[in-house]
Amino acid sequence: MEGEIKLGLTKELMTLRKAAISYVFILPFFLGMCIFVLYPSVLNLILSFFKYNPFKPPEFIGISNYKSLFEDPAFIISIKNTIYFLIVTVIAGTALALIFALAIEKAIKGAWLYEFIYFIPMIYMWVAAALVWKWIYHPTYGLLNSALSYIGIPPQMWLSDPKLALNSIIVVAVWKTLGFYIIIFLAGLRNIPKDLYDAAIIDGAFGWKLFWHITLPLLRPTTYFIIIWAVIRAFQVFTPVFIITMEGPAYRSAVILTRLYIMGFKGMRLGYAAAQAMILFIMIFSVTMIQRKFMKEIY
Amino acid sequence: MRKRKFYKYINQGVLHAVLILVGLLCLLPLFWMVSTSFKEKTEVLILPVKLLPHRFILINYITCFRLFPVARFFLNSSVIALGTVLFALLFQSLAAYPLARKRFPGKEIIFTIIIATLMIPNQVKLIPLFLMMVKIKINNTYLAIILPSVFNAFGVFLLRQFMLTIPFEMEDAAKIDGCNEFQLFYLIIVPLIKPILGALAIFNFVWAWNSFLWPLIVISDQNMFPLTVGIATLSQTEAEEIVYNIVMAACTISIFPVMGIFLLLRRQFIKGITIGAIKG
Repeated sequence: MEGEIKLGLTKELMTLRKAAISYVFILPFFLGMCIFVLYPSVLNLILSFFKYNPFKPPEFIGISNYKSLFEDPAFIISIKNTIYFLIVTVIAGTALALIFALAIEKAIKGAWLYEFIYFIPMIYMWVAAALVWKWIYHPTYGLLNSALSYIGIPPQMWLSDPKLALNSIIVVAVWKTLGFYIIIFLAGLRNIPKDLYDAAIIDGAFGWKLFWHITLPLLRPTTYFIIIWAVIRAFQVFTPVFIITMEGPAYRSAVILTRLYIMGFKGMRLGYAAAQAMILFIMIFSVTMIQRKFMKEIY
Repeated sequence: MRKRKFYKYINQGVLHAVLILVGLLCLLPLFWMVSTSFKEKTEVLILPVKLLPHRFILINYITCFRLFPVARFFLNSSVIALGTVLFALLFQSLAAYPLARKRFPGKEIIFTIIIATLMIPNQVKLIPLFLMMVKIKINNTYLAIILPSVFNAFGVFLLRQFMLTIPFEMEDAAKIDGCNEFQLFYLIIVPLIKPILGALAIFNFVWAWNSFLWPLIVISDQNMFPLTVGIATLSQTEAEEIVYNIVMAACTISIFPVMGIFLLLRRQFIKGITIGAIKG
């Protein structure tokens, strides 16, 4: 009897010991994740319902921050700009990357060289890339206006013209990430078995039809991945705006994150900024959910 | 037959021409940046714009080191990037191991929570993390920049995927030879996941090296600025001497390490950066 009980306990002890090792392994990460990810996120939600100026204790004001945000013209503009930025960079980025990936695949030799060259803009720190382009866009001494003057186009105020400012930044953003998307499309393209093309050619298909009925459908997962990635990145744009135009002129290039930074860390309205972060979160979350649903339906 | 081959050559020719042209456009900013960094001040603000400097001068590089602690910025960025890689790989692989290979109570819940954090965008944490760090006075330290990015569920997810492919026989064999759990992890598992560790190392290094917003928020002591914030500050100074040639010199310096890694380890680099894409 005694022996049996002892054996039972030892077994439990052993499973506990086994489990303990797993917990020990996971603990550093899990603990860190709670402290640096989960806790701050919850705190941000709570903070968004307060008025918090660092020199005074926080004041609970309910959804007042959110109300003010939707009446804040600068914030509304920043949302419009962010969405515009998102639509253009995602569509232009994806379409151009696809075109170039196809072109590279068709150009039989030297693919590695093109992959290499187009990828280089990704290497830069955003700060460095933004500064070069700010210089290129300089109205008087910038490379762009200089080059355009040779073909007779008058110099443009790329960064101070309200109509051009945001678009100038979009060009930089597309330039920077193009190589990345091209590489991904190339991986997707190379995954398509050649036999499919051969079989279709035997059946009499050619050129355009091959693209439409074989390439495009099989590229769907890759395309969706790129689009989701690009959308999330677009929502989080900050550095190029901060460096190149600093939201100018008159908020015409402001985006959500620049507003958050300026309101929260320059204006010291931390509760207000926390509310902005929550709105950003909700926007990203809902767009991602919609995309996921859309993807599932297609499949 | 000959006609078809002819058309094929024209086709290829045009294709390559366009690709090369666009490629040059892509490289133009890089070229422009380096070229400006070697120009004298008078050559920077003149019309018509010159593509190449009349004389290559190095003084811009020296000036930017003199005016701002650029060497210090470089050191800070290096410490931050290497520290991030170290801690991230360590904690993430340690966590991924039991999630991939072991059974224990609460495994599903823990994994679900970890994956759920993938849905939380970075920006939501910014303000609270700042407040937390100021409160315990670590807001001008390397750890302040490193720690928030280390606990990234994405790495855990990838490492776990990779670990799932390791046959159990290896572990059994090691256990028979008398390995304890830590030895098993260190001597067996880690060597087997080297490829993905390499890719994640590069990914984390580049990400940390280029990060801007968080260091901008949390660091106020200029001596602790990483290169990103340092160069931004440099470029926004109203000083007489800060003209674009110096700014470009600073930028050129800043892209050296990552460019170096890219040139030396091109395949692994691209794999590292695109590691997320090979999800399906």
